[in-house]
Amino acid sequence: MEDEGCDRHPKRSKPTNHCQFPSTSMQESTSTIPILPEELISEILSRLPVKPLLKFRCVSKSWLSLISSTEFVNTHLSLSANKKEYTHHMLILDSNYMLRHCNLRSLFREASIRSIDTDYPTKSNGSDKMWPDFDRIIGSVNGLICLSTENDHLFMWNPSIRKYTKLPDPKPRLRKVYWRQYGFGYDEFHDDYKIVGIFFFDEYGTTNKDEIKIYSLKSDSWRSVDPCPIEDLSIDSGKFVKGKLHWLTKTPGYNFCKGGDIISLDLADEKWGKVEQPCYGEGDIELWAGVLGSDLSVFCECDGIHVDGWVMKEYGVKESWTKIFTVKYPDMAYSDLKYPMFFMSNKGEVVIVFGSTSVIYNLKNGSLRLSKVIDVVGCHEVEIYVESLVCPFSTKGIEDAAKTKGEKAQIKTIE
Amino acid sequence: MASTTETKQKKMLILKSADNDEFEIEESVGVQSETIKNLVEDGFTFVPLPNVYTKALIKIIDYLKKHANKTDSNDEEIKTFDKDFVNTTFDDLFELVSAANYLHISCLMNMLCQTIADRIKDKSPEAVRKIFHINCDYTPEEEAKIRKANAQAFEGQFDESLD
Repeated sequence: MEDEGCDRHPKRSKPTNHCQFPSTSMQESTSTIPILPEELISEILSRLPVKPLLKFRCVSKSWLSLISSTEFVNTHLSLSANKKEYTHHMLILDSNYMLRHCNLRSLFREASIRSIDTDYPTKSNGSDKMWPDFDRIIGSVNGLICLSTENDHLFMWNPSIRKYTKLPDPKPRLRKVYWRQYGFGYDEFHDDYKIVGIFFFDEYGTTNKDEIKIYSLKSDSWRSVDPCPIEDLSIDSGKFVKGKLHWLTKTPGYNFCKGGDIISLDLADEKWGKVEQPCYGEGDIELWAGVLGSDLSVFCECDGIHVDGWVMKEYGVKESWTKIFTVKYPDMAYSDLKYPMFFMSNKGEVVIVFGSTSVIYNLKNGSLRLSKVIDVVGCHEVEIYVESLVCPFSTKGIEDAAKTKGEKAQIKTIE
Repeated sequence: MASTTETKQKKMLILKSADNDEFEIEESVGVQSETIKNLVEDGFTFVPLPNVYTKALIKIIDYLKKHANKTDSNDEEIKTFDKDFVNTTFDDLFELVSAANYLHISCLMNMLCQTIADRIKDKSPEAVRKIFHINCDYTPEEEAKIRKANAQAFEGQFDESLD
């Protein structure tokens, strides 16, 4: 990338990267064979989905090293994340506790779509399990998904390349944890993936306040952070926006959120902050947080009939909160999943995912259509992720693997 | 020899290809290329392009002319033009992508790279090697190992064709 624009001969390549002696001579009109420099190979390959890239690792050694390089992985991620048609985005959801996924683009285009199996970390391989693990999807960033299982194990997983790592136990201060919740995000400043765990203890009292711990993938360890300034956070997973995790706060006297501030935790400096919410208006409301594109958003359910979608267009500016849609609950969807998440397409459409049923709302003309993932039942968890080659835990895994019984222990490839 | 005097408002440029052919185009058409734009800003009206051959340059000038006249109403027409433009052999696409890169025409670069990516997506590694004129430098054992490590990507059928 250094010598942009100069000395780039179309019929010449860097000799180190390419073999220049093709066995066949198929060129009719040109006498020389166009061989592309690595820079242009990279430009082309970075526009491919993950699966062909894994396949093309075996084209040559230079292709393998290109596709495996951090720079390429990052370029590929940013191109994939910004694909206009969401061709590289996937919707992941559970069906009877099994995680399945489908293409987000299909959801926008078709009324009924099918999902396919994923090789998620706790997928039962038969006899050794009495019941399936109930996995909660904590969040997704850069193509990685963070999962927590019923028996409180945590995993960081890249479904596109089928790699995962099991994370160490957070070991809360007290044994009796009656509720734990997490948030997952990326600390760009330190180039580190982090998980925040909030532990509520059974023996609740002045001396047994909640404990908050943060996990850093780089250090592969948990440590405590300053307690949250507000005690009653919503039970939902933290929402990752602008380098911070966000939680709504519960309204005193209620078990859910009706307003108040949104609490944030900055993953780089670990400082707590507050984000003001808009005025949602009258009526019996219940709120939950979400992410739209890269903006913080809030769903406001009014009187159990319709949902308003609010977006904070300019982060931290209260006046920039905008109500972008009002959608009535679709009949069949209400029982399926109470907490929808939403996402916007480039054509001014918002998809609001209520479990297996999604409502696609056109912002311009207000029209609605439905899309259903037909082979999913009893959906509780839903998340959107972008297909990526990001695998920040690979080297560690390989080192660990050497220590333990000749088999990969920390990181596993599911085949 | 550069700008003609009778058309004051239409400044012209001469582009000279690597095989010494000269092409006269309007400045407004040429400056869609960042490389040409920079030269024009430095006062040049004669632009030698030692890295762009005539065959590619003719096509690229066509592209620039078409896209210079982009309006709200000819959207479909341009789409059809673009579709025809990329409907060619891989070797031609490689020539064009090299030229577009040298000329810094980002929308053309993007279209060409995406076209090539879409066309190789379902191909076998063997077909891709032939298309890109790459000799396999793996030993059979090394290749088998890579294939095994990425087994999921080798599920299903591949397209072995070279076009």
